[in-house]
Amino acid sequence: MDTFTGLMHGFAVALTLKNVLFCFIGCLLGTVVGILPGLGPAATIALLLPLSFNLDPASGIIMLTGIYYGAKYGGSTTSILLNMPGESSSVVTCIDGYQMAKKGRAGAALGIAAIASFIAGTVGIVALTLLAPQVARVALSFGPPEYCALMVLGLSLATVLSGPSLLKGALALLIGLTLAGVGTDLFTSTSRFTFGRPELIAGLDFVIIAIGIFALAEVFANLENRETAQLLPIPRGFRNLLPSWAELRQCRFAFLNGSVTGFVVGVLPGAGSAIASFLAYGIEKAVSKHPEKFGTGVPEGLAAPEGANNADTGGALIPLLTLGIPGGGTTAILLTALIVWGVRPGPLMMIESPDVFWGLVASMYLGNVMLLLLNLPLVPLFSQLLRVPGWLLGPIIFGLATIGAYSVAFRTFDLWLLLGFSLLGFVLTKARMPLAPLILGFVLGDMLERSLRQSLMMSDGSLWIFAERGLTVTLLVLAVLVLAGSRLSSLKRSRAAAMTEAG
Amino acid sequence: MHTEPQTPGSPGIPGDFWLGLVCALLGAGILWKAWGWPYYADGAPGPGFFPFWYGALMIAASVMLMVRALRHADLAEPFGTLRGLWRTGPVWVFYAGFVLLLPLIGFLLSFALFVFAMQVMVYRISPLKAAIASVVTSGVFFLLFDRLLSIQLPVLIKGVF
Repeated sequence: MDTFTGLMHGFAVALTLKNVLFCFIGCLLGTVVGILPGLGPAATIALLLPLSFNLDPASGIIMLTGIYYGAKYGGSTTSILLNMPGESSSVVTCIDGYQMAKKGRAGAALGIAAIASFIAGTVGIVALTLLAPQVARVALSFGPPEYCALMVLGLSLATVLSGPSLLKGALALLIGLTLAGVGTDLFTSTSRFTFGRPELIAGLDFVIIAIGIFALAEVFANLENRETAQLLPIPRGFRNLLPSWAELRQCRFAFLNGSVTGFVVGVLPGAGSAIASFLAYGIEKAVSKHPEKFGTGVPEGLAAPEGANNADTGGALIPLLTLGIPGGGTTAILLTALIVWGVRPGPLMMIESPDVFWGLVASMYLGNVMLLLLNLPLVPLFSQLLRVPGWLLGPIIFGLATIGAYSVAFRTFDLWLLLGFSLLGFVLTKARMPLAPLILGFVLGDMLERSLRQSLMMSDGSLWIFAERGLTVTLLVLAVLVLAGSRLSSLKRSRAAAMTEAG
Repeated sequence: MHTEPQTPGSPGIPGDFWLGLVCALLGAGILWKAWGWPYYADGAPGPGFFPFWYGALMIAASVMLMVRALRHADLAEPFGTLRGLWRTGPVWVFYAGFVLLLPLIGFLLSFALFVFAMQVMVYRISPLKAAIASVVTSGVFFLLFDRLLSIQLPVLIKGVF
């Protein structure tokens, strides 16, 4: 099936009444959680994952992915009106978005954010449509050594890009690998790290870890820090939400910059939309004729990061769908969902599950239009969600988390695990350890161990198998360069800081 | 998140040192367990092979973190205060109580008690408002998931609630 035929098949799947409805539910839920500070898309998808297991795979993934990109649209509302980012990727949106709102241009700021999200999001999906089949074709020739090397590169990038400290990223990753090791060894049936508990023989369930580390840890963090912020007024009437032509002309380059930067960064494991939005803002400021005005409420300072934040989704889905390797926490949860539904993400997904692959891609075009229509006229309504009190929201999240974890195996032991993982997530966040490498380590740990051991079995235990194949060598050298480059830049930073201190 | 930046040159051992120590102990535990499993079995890597390497890497990374924390104590990254643990501690205790009570008195009652305790003790809302909110929240969850979506939650009286 060529790309065009595949996409047309995808539209036939996505445009059924049921899938349009699930796409709408996903986009709506995504917008809501994007607006609500303290409940991110990863947490929401983790919470809804057990409830979506009974859906058919195409409908389920269309809904969960709708939450993923819908939250990015919604995140801008909180940033612009409250100066409080709903997601880490919306932090940069606060800089010029909030300043525009303070100058009485809240409507235009919300309009620019929605238009930039739509344009860049669509560009990201077009790139996904065109590039995914090519990547899958190349990946068809991969054997265990190539997969092993690819995962080493992916995990190295995730470790380096997920936070300022390489050591803390590495430790988070190793904790994830340890958690992945709990259970029965697939090759020899030896029980590992089960401590005599029969509940652990099948291993730890990803849903419980994801809900504990993302959802409940976030609730605890919010309990600790109950800030109140003043909601800026939104002008009434649809016309007042539209930016002027002059503002849109000012944003021309920003739309392009956000689209390209967001997509490219999205493909990189661990980078995520927060880095994409920061980078797009930096590029926009660097090429601007008036960089000194950035931070005072310039439309392009809002359009570039918002665009990058949304184009990132298309990029992030390429390694997930074509290689079966997620690049971040949310895509790791989507991978688990696909596996539970019996869909195997990877180079054969387009052939084995065309309904799911192309249905998802086509639904994203549809979802982007839905989000534009939802976000422009209904933003005053959505902003009322910001008035939902914490004392009501907290218990609701606890209830969803509890039922989500309990429904995995219907045993209270899992709730103790949930409590433990929420504590782990909270403590790691306090210690400024990134959570994405931990989740990726857990999701990829099993695959990494399997491909490494299979490679060594192929070569009778010789590590030379990794040096005999061109692609494997290239990927491993890249991984070493990524780690060494990060170490060098961190040494430089420490030295510069030490000199500043001494000076 | 609320953090208390460490002022340059502040006394005491940096938080990163303790973090490194805990991770080093975890790494040592992994190595110790991996020691008990075959490193190589039937000419192929055994169950101890992979844990041995990530356990060793964890110890190495932890020691590097500890050394860095001690050598650059004055340049340490701000470490989140653990005061938050005390602020959120009651919720953990209430949740543990809820999990203990769940198989004994069922979801409806135990969750209502948990929500009530959390709203009164943590969010400081009036007991009457909290009582109404906790009963409604717990009831809606029970109806939606147990009755409508057939996710069987623990009950006090079988077939009732």
